[in-house]
Amino acid sequence: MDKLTEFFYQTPIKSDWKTQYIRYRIGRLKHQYWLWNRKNVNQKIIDQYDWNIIQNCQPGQTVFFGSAGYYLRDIFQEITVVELHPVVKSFYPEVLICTDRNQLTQLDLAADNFAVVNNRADHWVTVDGLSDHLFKYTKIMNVGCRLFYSFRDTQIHVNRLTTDLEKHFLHWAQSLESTHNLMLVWYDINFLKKQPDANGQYDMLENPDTANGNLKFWFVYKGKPWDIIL
Amino acid sequence: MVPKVDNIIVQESKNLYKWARVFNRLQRNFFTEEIKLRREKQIEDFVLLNEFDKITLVTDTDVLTSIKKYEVDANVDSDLVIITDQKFSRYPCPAMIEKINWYLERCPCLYLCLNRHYVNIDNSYHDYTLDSNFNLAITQWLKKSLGNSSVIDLSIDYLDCGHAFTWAIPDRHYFIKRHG
Repeated sequence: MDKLTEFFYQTPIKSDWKTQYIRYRIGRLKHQYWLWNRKNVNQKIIDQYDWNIIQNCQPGQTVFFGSAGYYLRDIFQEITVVELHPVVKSFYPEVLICTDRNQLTQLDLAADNFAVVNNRADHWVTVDGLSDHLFKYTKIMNVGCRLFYSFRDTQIHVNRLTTDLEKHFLHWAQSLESTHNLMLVWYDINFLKKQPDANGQYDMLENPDTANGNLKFWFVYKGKPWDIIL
Repeated sequence: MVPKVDNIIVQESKNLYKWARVFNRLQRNFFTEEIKLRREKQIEDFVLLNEFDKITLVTDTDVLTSIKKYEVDANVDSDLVIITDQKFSRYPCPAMIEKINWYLERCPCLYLCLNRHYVNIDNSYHDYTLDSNFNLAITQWLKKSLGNSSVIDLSIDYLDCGHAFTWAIPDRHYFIKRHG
């Protein structure tokens, strides 16, 4: 009989390139844009939300962390791309690999814009866990750095029946000003209210924007708000 | 920033996920040896050891193939409905209860698997009297809402850190039986 398994860590995972790539690929949906764009030298596709981030970046160093930012770097070459998963280096040699956020400071970066877009590796924690990630990110931010942070509500630990999720995430984002010097400048919290159609049926979709996350927060680090461009 | 190409197409954010139908096989291939999901075997053995042989299966990926032989056509009465389809967990809470009752009116026994991460997906339902343990709170909510049925929680109580197989077989398992 095959080995009964409840959790991933109970059985070793293959170390070959194909397995590592597929594991990375299914958790990094934006990689699809890189696959599309590499086939066309003269025309590039950008996701609307990534475009919005680009429009709101200030001059200086722009870092995309764990967000398949290499597809954007093929268009905007001043972008610095940092990924957690070493397999990325095999198909995008210019990437900086950082398997542990504590080692970010060793990369000699000083970000004026820092984006984390629905990074799967940031998930599976409470909002306090997100705060821990953000604290490590601030270590490589210049004063006035703009932080673009988005994720999905469904992969954050919270009692979904006893918590008003919109308030929960907004309060968390607002609290970061006093704890992390991150002032909330703009946000978009999207829990689409489900209503039955004329036949009494509901859509069975996930919350909006599975690529970028339905919770989007933009902050400034030890600086002043800017005029948002959308 | 200055783009290095002139022709940029800004595309509305879209759903890029495309592995739903083969997700179980895809994940199982990651491992150095053949594995079987424990939670999948739990369902299969539940069917076998309780001698259910007319089953309605509501699935969305490649699971429970060994009990497909017991599956009956939609127009035939079944003795057990099994739901592992992730989409079921995306009903708003009151609609989910309605849907459970709809199944129970047609078949007295329901084996329901819910993905905890989708419960109350639209943030429209709150009950502050439920337990602080989310797993237990879901069970309490089902029991409270399904007064004419018995609800038995068959799940494991654990914190899901993305290391389970929740998107192949959801994590919360309930045997729900209609009274009378």
